Amino acid sequence: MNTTAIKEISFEELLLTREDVIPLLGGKSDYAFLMHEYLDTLFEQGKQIFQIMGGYQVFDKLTFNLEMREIAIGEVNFEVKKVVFNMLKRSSKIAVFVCTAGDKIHELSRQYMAEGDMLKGYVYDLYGSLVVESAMDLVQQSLRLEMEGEGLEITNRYSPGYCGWTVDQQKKLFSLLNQNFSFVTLSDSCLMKPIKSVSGIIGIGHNVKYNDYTCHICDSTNCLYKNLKKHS
Amino acid sequence: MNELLEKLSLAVESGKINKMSPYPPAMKGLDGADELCQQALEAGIKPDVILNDALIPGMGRIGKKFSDGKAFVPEMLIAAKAMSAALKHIKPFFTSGEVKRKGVFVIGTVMGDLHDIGKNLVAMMIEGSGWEVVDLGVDVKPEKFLEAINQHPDCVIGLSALLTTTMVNMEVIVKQIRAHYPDNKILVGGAPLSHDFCKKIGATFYSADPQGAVEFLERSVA
Repeated sequence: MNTTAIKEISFEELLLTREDVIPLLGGKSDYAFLMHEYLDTLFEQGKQIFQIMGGYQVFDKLTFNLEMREIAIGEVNFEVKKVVFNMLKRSSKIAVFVCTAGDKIHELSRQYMAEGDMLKGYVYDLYGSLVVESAMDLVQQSLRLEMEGEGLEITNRYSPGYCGWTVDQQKKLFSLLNQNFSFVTLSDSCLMKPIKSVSGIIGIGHNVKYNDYTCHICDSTNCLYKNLKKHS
Repeated sequence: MNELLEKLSLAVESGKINKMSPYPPAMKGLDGADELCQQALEAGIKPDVILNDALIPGMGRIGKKFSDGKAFVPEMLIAAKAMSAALKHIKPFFTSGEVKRKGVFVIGTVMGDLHDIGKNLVAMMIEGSGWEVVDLGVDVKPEKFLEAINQHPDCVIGLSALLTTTMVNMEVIVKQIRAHYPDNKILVGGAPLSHDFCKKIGATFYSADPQGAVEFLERSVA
């Protein structure tokens, strides 16, 4: 049976502080005070700015084609690279997830950029990414707790666009989700709307594992945390 | 160099936008790029001299620091804002024809990709170096590039992508541009790219950072 869990996440639940953000922005004390002003506004208005929603749908009808490195969830076939295939191939279930921070943060970011305040736009953009990733951490934690109840482990999350998994596979991913996930939609180019959204899959099973450090297998060039590592 | 131009150049490099702006702390209360550019014009310094001797070198120095890993994105963005504050005084001279644009630069983030901060920064720096910039935005399909080239036949084209999975779309766009406009220069940029990839897809030049893009364009009109 395919189980579904969707929840609204309040901005306060994320427990974000300046210290979570400043290092991601380079963190140099000379200009940090400028960011403090922007971030304080974001913390104050976060409740109004963010409409955070996330969830997952769990599928248990899976087929793994070792030779072709293909994963079929139900009738939908995904071509993934070796790195993703190897992490998921022992899964007995797969959760397809979606999470969004809402439209407004991106709109504000681009509004400030259009007005010539590139720095403020950049801070808002980065903060939007941090919010959606942090919210997805909570969604993933919910999945972990649910699966622990069944004696199962979960893997890290993997998304189209990363680890060689092409963005066009996003359409297939969204075709699996029921109508309760319509809070995120796809464009013709397979881009998510709201823009500050994430989607992907998480493996579940007795013989899967979560790796604390996966930067070495990821080819992301715009990851928040990779940038932090590079500049720390 | 003229003292006023030196100060203006430093204001751009340091991100000192105007007198009111609090950054950088060491320049608090001093005139910024906005006031200094106005003063330079009032002192009779020609706008093209201001552009070439103050704005471009100032932005060039912070661009070099960024390339060398000695400055971060926020510093580049503050400097770009300072340059824009100065540029608004120069723009009327572009319109009147007193200062000639170096050319037209058409830029866009390729289809399938929405990342635009790097693209915007490149666009701002190139505009600041005296080019007319036509920004096509994000998720840009080949037809939109072709339409822009049709309108600006001698333009240089800039393609941006941030994902390994969307940079492949550059090849599709470059092929279509080459099929219709074989002689236009195509600049590509974005974190996952390389010189080899640029060569493979038939683009003209790859730049790892905004300053490299500015320098490429400078060379292309030299």
